[in-house]
Amino acid sequence: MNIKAFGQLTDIFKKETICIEGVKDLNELKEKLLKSFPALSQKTFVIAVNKQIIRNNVSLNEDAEVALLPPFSGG
Amino acid sequence: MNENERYQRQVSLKEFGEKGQEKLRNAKVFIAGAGGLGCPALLYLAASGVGCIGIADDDFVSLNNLHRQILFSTEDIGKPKVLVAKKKINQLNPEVNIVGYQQRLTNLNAFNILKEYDVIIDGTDNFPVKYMLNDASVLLGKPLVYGAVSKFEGQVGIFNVADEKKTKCNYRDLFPQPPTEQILNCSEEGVLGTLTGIIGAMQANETIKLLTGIGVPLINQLLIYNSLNNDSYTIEITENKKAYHSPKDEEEFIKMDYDWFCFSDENIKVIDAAEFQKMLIEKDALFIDVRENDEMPVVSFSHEKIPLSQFENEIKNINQNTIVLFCQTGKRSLQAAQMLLKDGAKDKKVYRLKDGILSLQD
Repeated sequence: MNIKAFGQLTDIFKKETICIEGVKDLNELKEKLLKSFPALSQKTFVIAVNKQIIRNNVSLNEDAEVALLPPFSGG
Repeated sequence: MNENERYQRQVSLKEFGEKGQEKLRNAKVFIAGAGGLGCPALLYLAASGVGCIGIADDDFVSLNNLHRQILFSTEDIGKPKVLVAKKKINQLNPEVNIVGYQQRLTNLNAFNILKEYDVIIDGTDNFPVKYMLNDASVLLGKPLVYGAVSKFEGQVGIFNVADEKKTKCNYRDLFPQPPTEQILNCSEEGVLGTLTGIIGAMQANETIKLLTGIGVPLINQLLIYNSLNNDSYTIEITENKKAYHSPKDEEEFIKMDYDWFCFSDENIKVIDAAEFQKMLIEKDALFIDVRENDEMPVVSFSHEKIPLSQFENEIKNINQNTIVLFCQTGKRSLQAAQMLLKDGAKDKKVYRLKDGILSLQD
């Protein structure tokens, strides 16, 4: 499935979207992301699945769209 | 001057019409910050005929503002932003009543100022003020048109307005706690003036939609716009009340220390002038002035000088465990404290003087 990063998180992914295969739920995805990108553990962000903010574990279909959204403060 | 002619092009939109114009004329909108977001929002709302616009900012125009803060000209450098804004808006549309607040918006003055307005626009550039403005809007029950940018991306959303399910979300439902890591602002990481222009204009546009009831405003939603590839991504915000404790009334709100809330770390403590004087007498700490050389006033107590511009390189030479950072007004000592934190000063106790050297002189 596609994982979309925003703001400063794109510096960690080195691109805007990465693809991760074979995860069944959000917890498993978080674990896999932190393993591949340890710098994520230092960042504040919320996760949206199919454009809804999700805070609990949910099962993920292969076609789910996941987005990692950090807060912005500039103005 | 024929007022009908001034607004003729928007009044002729059948969705907007005379009724829309009347609603704008009767509206009072408050804009927090006359910066990259506030300037375009202010220009468009004033041009469109919003009856009363309040604008708060304690800053002065500087040369590096001009590429994005399009209300100001080269000749305005050094002048208070709010005064220049009032003059320019009067020239643009004398029908608009501009109320200028040449002061920093804080939790001590926000309630009295904001309660006069129908809609609040967030044109601020840091987390303490963003959380403060959010909490004030929640307590006052006022719509907050939020905006923020980071590099080439911007966020826009509307908080505290009930959707069709009668749900009202706010910024804390999205981000219950401020980030603990350092998030750079425009002055540090840079920004294109066109991006703040786009996001500020979107905030003005959402405000017009809210006031006139046209279209589908971004209620309980966050839109993220990427100016490099023109992608826009809109997500739904849901209630998350259990995740945070925001002030429950005006009294609690006034007692909040938003700087502390946003930058508190067990190793960084904010101290006031009295605590600073006490620590000076105790002589246990290393006092560091992070102002640039030659800045006035010169202080007479024993201290080291490490200007912020050299601070990051000098961190390795700071061996003391108890450190008190101070600057002119409290902004740079915060940045220095964050640099220390980033560098892993976990074994050190870091204090910073809240309102800077100027607070010692009162």
